[in-house]
Amino acid sequence: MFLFVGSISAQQTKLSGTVADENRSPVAGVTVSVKGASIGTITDLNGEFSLQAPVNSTLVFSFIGYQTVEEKATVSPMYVSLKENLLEVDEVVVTALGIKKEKKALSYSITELKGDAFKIKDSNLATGLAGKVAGVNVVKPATGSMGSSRIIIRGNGSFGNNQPLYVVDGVPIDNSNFGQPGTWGGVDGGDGISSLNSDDIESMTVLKGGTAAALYGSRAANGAIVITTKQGLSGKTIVELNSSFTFDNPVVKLKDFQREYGQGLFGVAPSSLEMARYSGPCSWGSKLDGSSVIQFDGVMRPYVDAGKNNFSNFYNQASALNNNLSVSGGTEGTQYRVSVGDQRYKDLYPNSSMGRNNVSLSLHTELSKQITLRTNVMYMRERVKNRQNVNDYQSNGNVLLWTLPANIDIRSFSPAVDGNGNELLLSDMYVYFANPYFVAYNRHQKDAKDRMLGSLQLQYNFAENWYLRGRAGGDMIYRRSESVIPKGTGYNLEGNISAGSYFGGEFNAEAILGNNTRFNEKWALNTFVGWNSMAAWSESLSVYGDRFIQPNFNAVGNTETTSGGKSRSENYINSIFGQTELSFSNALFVTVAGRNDWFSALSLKGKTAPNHIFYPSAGLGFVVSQAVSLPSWIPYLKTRGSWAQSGGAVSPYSLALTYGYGQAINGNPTGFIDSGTIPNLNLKPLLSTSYEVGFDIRFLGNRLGLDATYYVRNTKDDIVNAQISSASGYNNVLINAGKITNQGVEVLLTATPVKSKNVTWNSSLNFSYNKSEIKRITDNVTSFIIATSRTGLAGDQGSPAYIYQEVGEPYGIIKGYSYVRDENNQIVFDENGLPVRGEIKKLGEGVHPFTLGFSNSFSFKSFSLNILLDGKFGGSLFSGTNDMAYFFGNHKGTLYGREGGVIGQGVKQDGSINDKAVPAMDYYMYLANTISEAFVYDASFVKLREVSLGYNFPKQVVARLGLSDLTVSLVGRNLLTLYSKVPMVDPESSFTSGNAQGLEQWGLPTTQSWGFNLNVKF
Amino acid sequence: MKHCNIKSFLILICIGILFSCDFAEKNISPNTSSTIEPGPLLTYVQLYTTDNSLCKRTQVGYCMMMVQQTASLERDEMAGDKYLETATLGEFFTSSYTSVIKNTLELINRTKEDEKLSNTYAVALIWKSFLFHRMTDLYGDIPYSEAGNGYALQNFYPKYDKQSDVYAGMIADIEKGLSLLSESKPAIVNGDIVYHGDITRWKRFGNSLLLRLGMRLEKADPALSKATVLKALQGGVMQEPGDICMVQHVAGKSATENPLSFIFKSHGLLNSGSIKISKPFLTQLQQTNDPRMVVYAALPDGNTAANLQKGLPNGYDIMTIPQGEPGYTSLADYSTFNPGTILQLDAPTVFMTHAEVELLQAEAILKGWISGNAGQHYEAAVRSSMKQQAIYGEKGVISDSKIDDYLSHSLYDQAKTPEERLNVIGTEFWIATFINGYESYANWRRTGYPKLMPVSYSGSLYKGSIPRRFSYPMQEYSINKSHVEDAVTRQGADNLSTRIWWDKN
Repeated sequence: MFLFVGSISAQQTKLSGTVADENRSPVAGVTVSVKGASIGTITDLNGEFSLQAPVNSTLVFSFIGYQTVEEKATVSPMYVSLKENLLEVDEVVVTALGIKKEKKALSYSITELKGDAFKIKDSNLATGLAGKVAGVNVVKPATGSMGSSRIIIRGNGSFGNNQPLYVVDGVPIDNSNFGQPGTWGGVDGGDGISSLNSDDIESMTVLKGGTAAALYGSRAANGAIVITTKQGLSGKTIVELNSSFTFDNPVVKLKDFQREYGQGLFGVAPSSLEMARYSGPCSWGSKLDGSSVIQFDGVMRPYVDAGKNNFSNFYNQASALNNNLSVSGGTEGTQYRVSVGDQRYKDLYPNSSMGRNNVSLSLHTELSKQITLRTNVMYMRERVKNRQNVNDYQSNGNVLLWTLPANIDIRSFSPAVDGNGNELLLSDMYVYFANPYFVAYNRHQKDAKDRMLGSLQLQYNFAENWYLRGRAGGDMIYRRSESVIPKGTGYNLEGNISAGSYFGGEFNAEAILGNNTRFNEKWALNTFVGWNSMAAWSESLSVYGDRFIQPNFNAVGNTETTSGGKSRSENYINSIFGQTELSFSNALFVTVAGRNDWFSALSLKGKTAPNHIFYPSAGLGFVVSQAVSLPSWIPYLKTRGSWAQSGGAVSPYSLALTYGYGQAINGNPTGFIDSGTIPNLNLKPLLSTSYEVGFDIRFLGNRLGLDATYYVRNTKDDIVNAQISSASGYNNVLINAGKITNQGVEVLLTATPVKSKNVTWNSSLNFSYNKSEIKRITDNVTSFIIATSRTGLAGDQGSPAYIYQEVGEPYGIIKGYSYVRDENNQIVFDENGLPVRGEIKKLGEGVHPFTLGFSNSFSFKSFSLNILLDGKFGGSLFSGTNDMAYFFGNHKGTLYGREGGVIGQGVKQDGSINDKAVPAMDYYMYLANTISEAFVYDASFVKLREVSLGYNFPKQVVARLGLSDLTVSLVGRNLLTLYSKVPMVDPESSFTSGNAQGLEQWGLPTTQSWGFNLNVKF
Repeated sequence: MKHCNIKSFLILICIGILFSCDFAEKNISPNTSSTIEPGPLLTYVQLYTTDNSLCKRTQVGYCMMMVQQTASLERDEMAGDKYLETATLGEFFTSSYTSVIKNTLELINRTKEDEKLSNTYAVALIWKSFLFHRMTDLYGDIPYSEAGNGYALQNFYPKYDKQSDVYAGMIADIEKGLSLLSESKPAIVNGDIVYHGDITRWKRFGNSLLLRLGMRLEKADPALSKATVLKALQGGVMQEPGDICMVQHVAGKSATENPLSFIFKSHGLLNSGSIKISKPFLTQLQQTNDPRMVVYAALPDGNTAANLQKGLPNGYDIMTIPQGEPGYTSLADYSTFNPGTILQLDAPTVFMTHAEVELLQAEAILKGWISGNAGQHYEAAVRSSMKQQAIYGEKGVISDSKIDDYLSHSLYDQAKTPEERLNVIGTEFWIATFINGYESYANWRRTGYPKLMPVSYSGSLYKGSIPRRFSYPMQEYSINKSHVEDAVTRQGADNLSTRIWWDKN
């Protein structure tokens, strides 16, 4: 607080109050002066001020970026609301460690999203970011509403974790993922960020990369998403109710399925029950001619297209109901907000649902003139029933929907069990093709998560410009889960049950000592130093019961064999850090910072390499328009550049070989080396060096704006779980070797083409291009596999595809068997008329290099319309669903050649045109098993992502109802795919949120959602 | 004011540094041990040699199918029936190195320096050779001298050794182990679930394994072959059924149950009909009234009546089977493993039997390497094999009278020429090693007996001739490329028809 002291006369009184912006965020640094006198002060970090002034003074509030306000001091404390100025460039944003800074002072690019960006709710908060932020690539796997998310900021920089750090009210939260489907299937257990309720969010700042997140040190390499929850404000108590209801329908590309031939083999429909068994999911029968043909359950049915509505007959219309009630208010000294939320999801898959509740409290109180206390507590409760398996066959109830021959109606499977009480299978030769009703109603999975997030912050402002801030906070998760494969399941007649509980989280304690000094009009210096102590832990208990004894009684006690386990882990990081920012003329800003982290995971007796790392950073921001005279149609031009080093994580207990004990036989325990990975004593975390340059320019009174950034992000010494020869006894070794580079551009174009009293049109286009390259893996290894498709493994059908990390290529490329082509690019066929299998080579990139988001919002009187389009380009997808549809013959592409044979288009090995006809079933089965390239598709897409049409009731109407605000809106998400080249499935179907992107098989179909929102303020 | 600020600053720094001390203890895992006892390692290695996931697809699905002890109409998992090349062929390689071989080498590392553990060290050396002989007999040249020891040697890409070197190494290790085995030294550690610490039986097994390895070399290195065989016989091989090398499983926990039985039960293989006894095998048992038929074979419902048993011919799939079996109706009519004996959850997994040892001695006599009566060894083998079936419980017991009855029409006596005699011995070997597909397959390749009619399935690249080896796993080509390519250059194309070193024409 800076006091101007001028001449004082007349009777004095103390005037105080709070200055906030239109969103009720306190504004710091606002000059508060007495009109006509040279008395004044500046608001503090909480937007508060206090001064002595003559009675009945008029106070003037001014701050760059806001319209100056004059208010007579009639009440005290006063509450003053500032409207943003045309330029909006002097807004204050939340940056790393919760430090609020003016956006113009930043030397790096960030994007801040306000709470209303999440008006259209997605069940996972993070995936609601799709298309909204340049440089942020959002992936939501095809695992339904309870799934997890993958947020990649500025490309994938590591072979390990690539997801950003999430911070809520200054406290890093645990974004653990509770299991992901892999090659052998599995369920998506959800992640940490999905539990948060978007109704509680005030703003979300995306710190794009090491340069912005540098103060987080070893956790910063992938950037950070800093979330601030809504706070209370002094004044009238406000009660707000937000309700929304949406329903989702599955979207299926029926035109890609063939509906002309039914179940059978060799062109013949099954003539006996045994033939039907052998045919299984094969659609290599005869043309659908209406004749009476036997099916899997022994019933004769007409051989017609009975399955065209299978998807809509089986899957539910999914729905989401969301209610949130909040009460906020306060006095001058204390402000609070309490909110309660309830979300209910009915999933697409029958008998699957999720319920969430959250309660949050935020309290801000002034313990004294100098000491303020802020606390936030959130309790989240999530109950999930029946998460679905995807990818591999086991208990994946989606498989039959994608593969069933046209003449079979999925509802024939609804009895779920046969006469013996066992799963009613399509064929006992295909025990892994699950009966979807059996999976829905007999197989069980459930999990329950209870979570507490809390933080406590104490700030002590003393001695003019000094402050001391202490903060402690934690995230604690308690999760229980249970999964049952019931007795009678086709591929496991005896069944099993597994259950577990997990208790884990993270606790941080931090203290900062800082000083903000303005020496004179030109020079100011803001400095702080601090330390942080982080402790993360997890404890899990698991029990497994094998082979149920009594049917229909799913308890661990009812099994023949039980086994269990318990494991625990702890991880600590202690840090000290500091930053100093020098500003000149409010136009030039120079920032230098550093952080040193000590890791427990790098510590071990006998280790020589150090267990701590130093992360420096530096940056420059220059508001050109403030320093230099520019033409009037460029009101604002700023350039910025920064450089930073940040790090990555190391898992604890990775440095030494470990052993385990197993099941005893006749009293003799078994013991073995517990790791399949050779550990590395001198392991260290990766080092990421990033730098960026950019500019932000506004034209025409801020009606047009362009913000562009070029960035480079280099990772070295990445921890590689390098695959080695199994003949060494191990499958992997942990080494520091990886080198990955990412470089790219982000562009944000904003425009306000129409701005008048009644109509406004805001448009924004964000575009980014990221080029990644693997520079090095290890001295001996130039490539390794990070994921394998389910197809073609273990002697099973289909052709394999792999996600590779390969030197000289972008991150995560798709490789598989290719065609052999001649010099004219013609496919080469062998003497049997079948395409020759080429070598394994690159077939596409798993990660899209280009992302685009185009949003337009219109407001006309009380109506508002928002439309968001987003797209990604340049990536590819290996579709196991299409591959298997060719193998089984229910793909449209297998119609050609059914009568008379398939003559492949291309040349024979001697160069002449290929003319050999191959029976359709042989040809397509061979193609499906042999040539992966045929099933790699360009996964570029453009989607109409969100549309919302809202109406804000006029004040008179609203007042008559006794309310203070009422808005209703119609919302839609994922309404249309405007461009896609992938048959059968959605181009965004991935089965995992892990690093291996570009593979899909048999996930849940994509959905289109519609609904409405109601927002009421009392 | 000023000194107050400096004080707070210093306090901050001190706290920060204080907290970073003593992290080393925090980084020791509470869940796994950093050391291990040799006993549990030995148990693990012996138990997991019975190979849980491999027994269905490799032992039965390939080995037993190729030598026509079993048959199947399937193409994917029982690929050996029709000589189809699938990715399963690489599983034995990737699975064995990373489980049993790795831990056997760890056991060796932990026992070789310790005088008190020399008997255990000896057992580990013998077991190591047992594991590697299965591997090299399937693939040919394999990683051996640099293999399985990735952590200790820091060798992540082992080279492939020539099979002749592997054999030399295995023979040397067994001989070393035999020389170390001694009753006067401290006993083998607790945990030996094969011979329960019986030094005599370990010696007999070691020598019997030497005998087996020596015989394998008969065409590739006749001199070494003879020398090894003679050394083995002199050292003392198995003498009675009780010397059998096997693991007795225990029902009740999936980890300890017989892996084949476990998979049959949990995958419902009796009903699905994936695995059947093959026609040539069953015909051989039926025509000779072999009492072992009742132990080995039964209809899926458990019926062992001799006149109902039916073998499935090899080389057909669901569409072509009517051509091979006119009047074919359903798989339920065909015999499979007897659920009352072989498929019991506590049925033992057999590694080597006394019967085989007798038969190998018979061969050695016929070669003129040792003196003796081959016919008597043949009879001893038959008798031993039949008595040995008691390991399956009372349903496996074959009475002495039945054995005498069988031997009274001794096939050996009916054989006149050396070739016919070898045929009888080889055929008996084939029957006696039922359910030890690895050995049946290796011995068939070595001797050419029994005479089998290869199948000719249109979808197979190898139709008309039984494969001679397994191909290397695909991932070796991307991960260990130069070494596997060296092996291929030396040995021949990496396909199923290339003959390995000892498998000379």
